[in-house]
Amino acid sequence: MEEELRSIEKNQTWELVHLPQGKRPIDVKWVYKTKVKPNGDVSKYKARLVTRGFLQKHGLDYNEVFAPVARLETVRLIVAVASNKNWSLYQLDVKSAFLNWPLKEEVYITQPPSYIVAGQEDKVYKLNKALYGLKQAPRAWNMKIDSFLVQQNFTKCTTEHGVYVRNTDSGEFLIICLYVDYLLVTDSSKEDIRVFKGRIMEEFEIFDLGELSYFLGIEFVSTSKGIFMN
Amino acid sequence: MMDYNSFITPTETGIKLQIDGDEKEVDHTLYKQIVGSLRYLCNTRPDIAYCVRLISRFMEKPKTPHFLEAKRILRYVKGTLDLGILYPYSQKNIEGEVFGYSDSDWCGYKDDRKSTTGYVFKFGTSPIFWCLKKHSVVALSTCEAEYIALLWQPVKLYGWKL
Repeated sequence: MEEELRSIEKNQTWELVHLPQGKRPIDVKWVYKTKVKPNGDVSKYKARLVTRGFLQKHGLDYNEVFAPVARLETVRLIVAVASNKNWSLYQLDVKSAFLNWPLKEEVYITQPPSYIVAGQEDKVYKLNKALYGLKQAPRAWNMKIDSFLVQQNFTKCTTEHGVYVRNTDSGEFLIICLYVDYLLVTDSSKEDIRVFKGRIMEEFEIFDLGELSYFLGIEFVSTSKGIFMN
Repeated sequence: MMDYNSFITPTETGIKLQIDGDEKEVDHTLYKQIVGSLRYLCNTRPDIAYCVRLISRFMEKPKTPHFLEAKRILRYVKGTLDLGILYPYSQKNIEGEVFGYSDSDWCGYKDDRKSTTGYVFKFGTSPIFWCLKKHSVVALSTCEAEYIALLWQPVKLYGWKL
């Protein structure tokens, strides 16, 4: 919980203000989650502050909510192609992805339970950036990463909006498959991938999960003959 | 369930399940949880796609035979936990080639007389996409059923909407 709040403070996600007239704050609550590794061991405990987005009203608190993700068959195709070309596959995880992007709409939330600032109980937080549970949070994040990738000379696939491709002058390929805050990256040259990782780490807070091993609950194992999925 | 013996096939051949019947109803929530988990498992296991599709038709009113079928799939999965799909390194002569295959039955589902189609796309030797689906229209002949099945392939490939 402490870590989550620190992450929120660091991103300057909110500020404490008096509620303006005619505005309604949205409730927040804590959600606790245990992340497990493929063998069932606990990898970390997480507390996440979420807003109760179902209290938001269309047109008032949010407008557009659509955000694309890659389809699973696309993930499999990329793994198949990469394996056939002997390219290496890497996996990146963006930390607090939904907290990164500035909000267009004005949204107010109540103070989180058990972390109410003493003496200022009647104040509410005004959100500067998106928070988990908000209707527009996934879209806000997607717009952000999209503009970043386009700026890095990536082209978005026209039929599959979760896939980005970059051709370099030397004929090298870099393919990215985006699944919300997970990125599956494959490249014909190891050098390019290193440069790209450096770039994206400057922009976002990223966990480098190394070579592809466990993506969306599917286990991938490299063997002598190929990549084995189960 | 853990100490049950495993099965070597996920389902009996030619099994016919129906909605109506006077068997006892089973726990809906448990049944739906099993079907939901199995459907996610289908993402890596094309071999159980057919029978998972078979049992997922009875989510509304699961009865004893449906539940037994679900349990049989679980027992099959238990015996085949180490199976998966291999994406081999450096295959020759498959530069950008994706193959699709499809097949269809006719009136396989007795409750509404609709046919079922299965199709699979392969990249080289490894499958990348597969699907089993009941038609949304009634086919009047086996030939018509096969045509409907064929139509689905480009629909999937090019992202058309029907």
